Amino acid sequence: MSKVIFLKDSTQELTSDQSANNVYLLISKELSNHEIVEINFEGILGITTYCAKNIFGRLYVELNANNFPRRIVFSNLSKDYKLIIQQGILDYIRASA
Amino acid sequence: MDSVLEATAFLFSENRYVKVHCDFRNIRSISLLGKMMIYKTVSHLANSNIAEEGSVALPQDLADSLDRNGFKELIESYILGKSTQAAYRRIKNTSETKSFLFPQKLLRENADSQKVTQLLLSIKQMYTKFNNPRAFDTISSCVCELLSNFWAHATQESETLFTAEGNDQSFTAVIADNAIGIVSSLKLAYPEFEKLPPGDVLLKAIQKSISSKLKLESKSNHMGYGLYIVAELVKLNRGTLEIWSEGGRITHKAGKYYSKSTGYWKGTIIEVKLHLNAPRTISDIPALSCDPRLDLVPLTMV
Repeated sequence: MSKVIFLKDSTQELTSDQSANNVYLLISKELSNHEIVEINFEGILGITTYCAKNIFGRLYVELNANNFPRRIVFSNLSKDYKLIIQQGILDYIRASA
Repeated sequence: MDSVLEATAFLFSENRYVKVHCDFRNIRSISLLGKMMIYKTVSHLANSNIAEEGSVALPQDLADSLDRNGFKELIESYILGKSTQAAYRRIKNTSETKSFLFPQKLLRENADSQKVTQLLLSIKQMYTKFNNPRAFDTISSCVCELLSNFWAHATQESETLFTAEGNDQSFTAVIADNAIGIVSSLKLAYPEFEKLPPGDVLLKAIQKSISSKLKLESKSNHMGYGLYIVAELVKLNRGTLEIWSEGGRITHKAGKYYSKSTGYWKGTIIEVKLHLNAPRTISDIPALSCDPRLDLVPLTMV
């Protein structure tokens, strides 16, 4: 079973502690109820490396390298945002080691 | 700007004055940075106990220019003793004005998501009208990282202020505060920086993975990429980045960053200018986009 999260329904900017925490909790909650969660980035106006690290880096380490790409899928993700998310994940992994 | 900082250094001295008079009548032309400096000077004088009495001489054409960016009412609130918070609420940030003022106290805990969204949306609308949506991607990366950076160090007393203006060719953002300052913040975190002149510490600040939070907090969730990304986007977009903090300054010229000494400012001032004819975005930063480690963290796209 899968669930689609339209991030813009929660926030259109991923720049602050607050945003990072809220989105992380939202995704975590849906992951506990659904096998696959699709995160739709339509309408997102900005994302910082800080937020990318603390949302998706954290989820990556919690789910692990095998489960993350299987259980979290992205839609409407620009090339820039994809890069920011990947760099955020890499830094979270580095910091967790 | 060096002479401005020499002139305003007294704001942060131990001296106390009976009266301080700010005379801006000789100003013939002014940039967005200059308007920010006038505002910060007046607001700091009003909020501190440097002088028992203060006055400001502001010629009409300068007042009109300040009004275009939303500063006039804020400055008048201090001069006339009116509510500055009420003046903040009346500021219009729209794509029509092509000018943005975001003077909310940028506190991390109380980051006002709606105001940030409004700011970014207005900028996006402006560049959609200019038929240059890619410019927004570049600007968004810079603005978001700058706000995040200042949020990390803002306090109730730091009086952080963000302002920006743009047209179809370029975008300028200025952000300033009276917080701890990049120089002090990094020297605290990196003892090896202690003997460096302030300008050289600022050069370190724009390197990847340099962050006072990263060093001081054992399980820091910071990356230290914010100013690095801004600095790289400025280079790619043939823009300018100037940072002033605590007697140090860095400036970008012909693809390189240079440091020098300047007048003392408690806190940090950053000015970013981007040329937007052919905007380059974060994906155009080779060190990030060509990172071989990216293959280790594939994302599933649908």
